Parts: sequence; C-alpha cells; structure tokens
Amino acid sequence: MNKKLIFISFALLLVLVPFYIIFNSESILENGHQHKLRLEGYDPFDPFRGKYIRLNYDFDSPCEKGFKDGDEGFVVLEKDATGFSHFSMVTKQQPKHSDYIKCKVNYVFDDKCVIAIENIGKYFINENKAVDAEKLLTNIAENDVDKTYATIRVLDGECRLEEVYVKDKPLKTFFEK
Amino acid sequence: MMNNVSLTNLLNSLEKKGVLPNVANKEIQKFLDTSTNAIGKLFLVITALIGATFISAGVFSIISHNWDDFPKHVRGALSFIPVIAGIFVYYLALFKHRHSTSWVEASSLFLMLMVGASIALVSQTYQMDGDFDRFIIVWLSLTIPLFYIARASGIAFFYLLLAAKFLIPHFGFSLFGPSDFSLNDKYLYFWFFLLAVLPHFYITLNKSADRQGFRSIFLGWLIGVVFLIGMPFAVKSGYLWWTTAIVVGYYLLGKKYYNGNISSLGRPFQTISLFVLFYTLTYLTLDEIYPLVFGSNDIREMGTWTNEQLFFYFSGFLLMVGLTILAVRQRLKGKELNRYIVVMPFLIVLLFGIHYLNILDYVDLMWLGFLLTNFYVLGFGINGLIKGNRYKNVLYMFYGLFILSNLMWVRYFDMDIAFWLKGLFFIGVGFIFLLIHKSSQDSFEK
Repeated sequence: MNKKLIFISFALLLVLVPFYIIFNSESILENGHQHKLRLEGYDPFDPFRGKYIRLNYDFDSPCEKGFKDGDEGFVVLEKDATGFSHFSMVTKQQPKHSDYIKCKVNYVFDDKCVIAIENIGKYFINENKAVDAEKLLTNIAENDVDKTYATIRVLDGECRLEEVYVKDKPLKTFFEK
Repeated sequence: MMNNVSLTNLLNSLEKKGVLPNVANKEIQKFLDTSTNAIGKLFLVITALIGATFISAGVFSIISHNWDDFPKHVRGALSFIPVIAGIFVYYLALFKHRHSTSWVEASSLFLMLMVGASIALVSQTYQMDGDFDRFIIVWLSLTIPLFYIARASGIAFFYLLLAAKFLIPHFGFSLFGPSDFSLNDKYLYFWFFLLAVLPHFYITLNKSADRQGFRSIFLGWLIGVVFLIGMPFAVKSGYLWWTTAIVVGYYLLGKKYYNGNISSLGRPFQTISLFVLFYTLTYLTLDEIYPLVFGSNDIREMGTWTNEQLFFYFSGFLLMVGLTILAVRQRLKGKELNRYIVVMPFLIVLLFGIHYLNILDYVDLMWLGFLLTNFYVLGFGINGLIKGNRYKNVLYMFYGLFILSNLMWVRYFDMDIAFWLKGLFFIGVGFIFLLIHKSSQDSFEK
C-alpha cells in the first residue's frame, strides 16, 4: 500500500510538470499583451525538439547606469507609430505596467545593453517545411524588413512567441496543401 | 578458450576416467553455473538498458519531426503520452516484475528519458527555446526518486553526465578565436545532484563484507571518476587539500568495502586513489608546476578571498585532516594500509611549508621539496614492486614499474646536469631495471 502511494504521488508529480508548463504558456498567450517585433531567420537543428528557425531581433537597448555583463534586469517594450514594438529601456527595478520582460544583460557598451530573452528565439517547425520557411523569410526580409515579423505575448515579465508572419500571413499557411 | 559446455564435458570425462572425484566435479560445475548466471544477469540488464535507450531515441526522433499540422490542444494532449507510457512501464516493473533487475533498470531509464521527452514536446508546441539549464534541473530533480523507489542504478550514468553540465566553463568565441572564458556559476547544482545520489550508492553497498557486486562496482567507478574529473571545477580553492582528501578518502572507502574484490577493475576507489597519487606527485616533481600548484591559493591574500573560496579552502583542509586522522588510527590499530597513502597528507603540508619559506627569500629550500617528492615517488614505486612480488600480484608490480620508469623518464628530460654525468646516471638506472628483471625471473619462469 505504502509503495503504491509513493508510486502514485511520483507519477502525479511527473504528469504535473508538463501540465504546469502548458497552463503557464496558455495563460500568457491568452492574457498577455501582444507585440510585433521585426526579425530575420535561418535554419539550425535541435537534437531534442527537431528543426527550428532561429529568430534574431534587435537586442541592443538603452539601459540604466550600473549594469554589468551577466546582470539580470527588465526590458520595457514600447510601440512605435508603425505598430511595431522595440526594446526601449533596460531597468533594474520591475516596471509598474505589464509591458516588460525579464532579461539577461550579455554586454554593456556606451550606455547600451545587449540583452538576451528566453522563449522568443526559436520557432519550431515541421522538418519538411524548415528549409523552405527559411528561404521564404530570407527572400522577403531582404526586400522589405517590415514584411516579416513575429508576434509575442507578454505577461508579468514572461513572454511566449505567438506566431511568425510573412506579409501579414502566418508563416505556416504558406506551406499548407 | 574453452566454453562452459566443453568444460563440463571434459569434467564429466575426467570423472569417468577416475581422475576427478564426483564431489569435486559437482562443486566445480556448481561454481561455473553461478558465475555464468551472474554474467548472464549482467548481459540481460545491459541488453535491456540498450533497448530502452534506443526506444527513447526513437521517441525523441518522432518528436523532432514536429507535427505542427495538429491543433495546439491536440499537441498539448499528445505531450503527455511519453511520460504516461514511461509511468506505465515503470508501474509494470514495480508491481509485476519487481524481482527482475533488468525490468527495474530499463524501465527507470525509459521513464527518465520520457520525462525529458514530454517536457521537450511541450516546449516545442509552445515555441519555448527556454533555458537549457532550467530544463536539466527540472529533469534531474524528477529523476532523483527513481534511485530510491525501485533502486535503479543504471540511470546514474545519464544523470551524472547531465549534472556535470553545470561544471562546463563558458567559452566565448569571436572572429579572431577564443575571446573569453569563465567558470560555470551554477556549479552548486552539480554538488546538489551528486549528493542526492550518494545515499543510493550507500544503500547498494554490501556493508557486511569487503566484497561488492557489479552494481556497487559500477556506481563506484562512475561516482569516483565523475567527482575526480569534476573536482577542479566544482571546488573553488584549496585544490591540493581536496586532491589529497580524494586520495586518502577513496583509498579508505575502497579498503573498507571493495578490498575483497580480486582485480583492480573490481576496486574502483583504490585504483583511482593510486592513480591520482602517482599523477599528483609526479606533477609536483616538475619545477614549472611546483610554484603554480602551491601558489594557486596564496594564504597571504586570504583577506581578499570570497566567502566561497574561504569555504572550499577550509572544508578541503578539514576533510583532509579528518581522513588522515582516520587513516592513522586504522594503521595504528594494525589495519594493513599503504603507508605512502597515509603519509601523503604530511608530505603535502611539509611541501606547503617549504613553498612559503621560499617565498620569504631567506632560504632556498626548493631543492629539498623536489628531493623529498622524488624519493617519495621512488619509494612508492619500489613498494609497489615489493608488495606485488610478495603477494604474487603482477598488476601491482606493473604499477610499481610504471611509476619508477615514468619518474625516471621525466627526470631524464628535465635534469639540469652535465650530459656525461646524466648519461652515466641513466645507464645505472637501466641496469637497476635489468636487475629487477633478473630478481623476478626465478619466480615467473618456474
């Protein structure tokens, strides 16, 4: 009986971990604020999760004084007149509004920080679509940078990549048969 | 080499011819059966583990395809399949095949990998590139109970390999080559995961005897080697204290629990201890290395050390002192311990003293340090030869021979004396080896 109880508790714990990640992600995607970020991409490979397109953003941002390489902070997102967002300031204190993301400062130079943000850098895609998706993104981005962008959702300092768009259409729709 | 069936036939024919008594024949065949069964069991476990690894690799490959045509909620639900499959197989092992080691080992490994597969699938569905370190922390934390629920040990290999990830330093590369290097600041996770597996290791030890089975030998090698290789990155200061503590501690542990095992493969801690002792001391005989090793944590700068440096320095020192007291007490009580291992901490402290006297610039005692270390290694090698010869342990004799010849070759290349004198000296050394050959000839060519 005791062994069964231990087994059931352990099994529940194991199932709860993916459940928690799903619940947390759904909450951010449902309730988070949407932002559009300009991007460019290419096609590497992840041994555990398959092919993905690495999404590069403009990670240079003005920052408060006193930041050192490797520090953690909060980056504020600001929308411009064209509807795109950019990283406007890296702060040490958590902002009062909700349009911010936790970040790590990789380098500091001339009052600017080069930051790293989790969970918006990789777009996992079906292995058969990855190469074509990369070509498409590269071709379009070369001609007009505003035609390729990613939408992210931001909630309480956390963020999730929502979709990648090419000419205002989700990337995946280009490969639907 | 004769297989067991041929050997049994031979034994039976010898019994028929009256060469071998019936009782002796039965006893020999019983012994052969037992050893075959033990190896057969090991074969089953390894086969099952390899099978579980390949199945898991297949699952990861299927996940990698990325079934992004399915709606998100379907993919979310599918993410649970690997972990539920893993739990089901583990359930079968626990409640239907609880006496089968191969079931327990393979199902534990499968469950461990399936937990990782489920997390990977969720992060793929929700486009989370995430923090790989956090992924490993969650994964390994969920693996810890597997060591204790069904006492699986095979997973320790993957577990410690992943835990060692927290020791890997950061290397930065620029267009012109390596640009920066920094030690991993998450090294405490390695300590945490290492300490979490130690009670499992202790449970598997046969405490009533000094002879261990394959499981404890496997864990001994794994933990011993991982900690030895990881130590320079897991410890932040007092490296020589920690190395000496490893030499003495491993040796005492091996002597207590593994001494009855016949080969050096079956005595992981003693073998590692003897290897580290030889390796460390040979390093200390090099004049370029000596000041680096003893000067790496200059106690005159102790005021500028960080708390973690202070902690590791003094904990390493106390650990070494504690283990040395234990070793000396055991030796005084008459337990047969290698005196060169027991004396090593005293030598290290003495060499430290010489190093600091040298820094004061009043006297140059460096030569004394080298001389002592050289004689120590020389004595250790000769001791290996004598003991090996006494107990007819050829492997131990090889060890002694290896130490001696290695020391001599190092000295050949770094000895700064006139060539003619060096030549005469090494001709003498060569003749000593031939003398050893001559003296051993009688006992081996009988």
